[in-house]
Amino acid sequence: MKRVAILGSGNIGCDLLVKCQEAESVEVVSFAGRHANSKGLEFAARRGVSITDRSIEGILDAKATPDIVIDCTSAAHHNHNYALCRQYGVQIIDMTPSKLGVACCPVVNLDHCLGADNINMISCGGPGINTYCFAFKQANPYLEYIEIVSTISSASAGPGTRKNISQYITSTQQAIAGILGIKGVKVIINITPAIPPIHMKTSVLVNAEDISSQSETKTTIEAVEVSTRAYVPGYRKSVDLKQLGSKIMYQVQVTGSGHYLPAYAGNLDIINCAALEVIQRL
Amino acid sequence: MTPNLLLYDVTLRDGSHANQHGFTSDFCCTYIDRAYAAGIRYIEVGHGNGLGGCSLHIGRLKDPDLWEAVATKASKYRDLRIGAHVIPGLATFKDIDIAIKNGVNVFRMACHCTEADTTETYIDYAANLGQEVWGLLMMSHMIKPDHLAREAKKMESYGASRIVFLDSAGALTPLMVSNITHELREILEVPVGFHAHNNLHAAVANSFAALAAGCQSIDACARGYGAGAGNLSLEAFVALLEKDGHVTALNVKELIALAALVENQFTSSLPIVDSLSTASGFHGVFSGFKPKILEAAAVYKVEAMDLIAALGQSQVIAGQEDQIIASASMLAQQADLT
Repeated sequence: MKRVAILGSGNIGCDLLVKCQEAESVEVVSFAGRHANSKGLEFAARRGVSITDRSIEGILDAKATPDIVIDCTSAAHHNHNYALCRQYGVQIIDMTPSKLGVACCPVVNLDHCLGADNINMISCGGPGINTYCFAFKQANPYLEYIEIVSTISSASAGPGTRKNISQYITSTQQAIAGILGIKGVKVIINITPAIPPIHMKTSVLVNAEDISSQSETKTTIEAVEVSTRAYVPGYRKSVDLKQLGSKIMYQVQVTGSGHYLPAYAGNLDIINCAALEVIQRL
Repeated sequence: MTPNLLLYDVTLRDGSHANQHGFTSDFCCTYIDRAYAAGIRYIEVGHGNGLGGCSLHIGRLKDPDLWEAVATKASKYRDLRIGAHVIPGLATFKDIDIAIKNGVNVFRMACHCTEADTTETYIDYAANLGQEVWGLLMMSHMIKPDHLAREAKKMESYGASRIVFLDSAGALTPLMVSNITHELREILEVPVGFHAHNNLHAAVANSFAALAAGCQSIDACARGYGAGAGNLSLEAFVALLEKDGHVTALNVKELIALAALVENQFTSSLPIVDSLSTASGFHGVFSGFKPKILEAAAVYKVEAMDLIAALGQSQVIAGQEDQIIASASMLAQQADLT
């Protein structure tokens, strides 16, 4: 049984709580926020979890200490949270874009990350994006440029997302370039108010001349898709591999599990699914 | 009547949609010299979708040295303002830094009309670097004027010194433009500007309506050279203003020569109001999509008109070029099933 504490009572923290409680091998020992009467803490209390409004200090002071803390706060707070966890010898999974820990995308490099004391889940949508880039790179080792266009609904883009667009692009580009060893990575994000809210869509585009065999690329993508769907159930192809002029495009759509967040928030669901996969494998 | 009217030349940016981002350094240099001689003092340059737009998704800039050429002109004409279009999500802060080095000093932070808060940190970033920063609301036909005004007010509160509303799909009527302008002026302290597209032949009428309602800046292109059916024709608009007795500080003859320069250079991509553009304006689909719609329709063997209607129905916004392909693929699948 993995004993985890969830730090941060926002959307990500609450959704993760539901996912962890539903997982057989995970026990949530505490759930922490900063404001006593927050919606998130009330939600957690109703679900029968021990809550604290004293953030990381509350988690580490409690009798039932966790083996793993999942930090769902913000990049600005992560530094402090990580320092305390290290002091107490508690492993931390970082859901913020702080980039302090080892960048992790389960399908690509999970085994490599398991021993680290700080595992970073990159960014919302990051794990899903990387999966596809990984498939393209695997089938085409000489791939030198890859482009990722993600479109999310306005309803799923909170104030944090909106204030950190430039940082999101830069850090996701770096993470993909680093993990896959590709120099040219371009990330684009669209936020659309269309009603009903669209489910997250991610397109991968590459230069047609970089693809040695389209059918082989397709087979690799499909295999990676199967292993991704094992932990992100709402992952599916929405546009098959297609050449248009000098580019080749592929698109997936991610429908959320609808645990705490609505189904259209696939971008948020995917990082939580990835985190749960890491917890179960630790 | 309009002593503070500012004519903002977007030819070298919006025109980039028309020639699929094919402006050369040489052409830009010649254009800037001639436009300056005609009295133009605000010129926007770059990829059709602005900084960071160069991509497989939207289209690559054919001449990567474009900005070096612009930088030489920016240092030559000290009173010329060089503008850049910036969409958060495509551009990053680093792109702003590079643009400043290349002589850009007007940053037009643009977003879909409902998403003003995505521009907050970008406006802040450029303003802190001492730049002139405007706020642009794209696809402004998609929401009601009072909603647009609230989004505009947010941009003003972030520090934008002017708000421009864009009729990106050429879908507005003069009455709508007038209503929007009144609504914006009611709530804003800063000046308001308008950017027209000509899909429904209304660029001139809409720009006049904007002026009459109190807009203080108008975007225009020489020969109307811009996305889809094109933009407001700079030379024709100034000619009309002069005939009505407005003083614009621009030389109409020089502007007509500027239009001829564009006309002679880009004979195969001059904007016309064809049926496709009309459909695009009618369905409220982004003007810049035209070449991509034609390409996807051909690849997936579907009707371009059906594709436009599908894009309008799914409320696709500027920047969602991949959705043109997704919609075409879906239409093709549906056709296979029946």
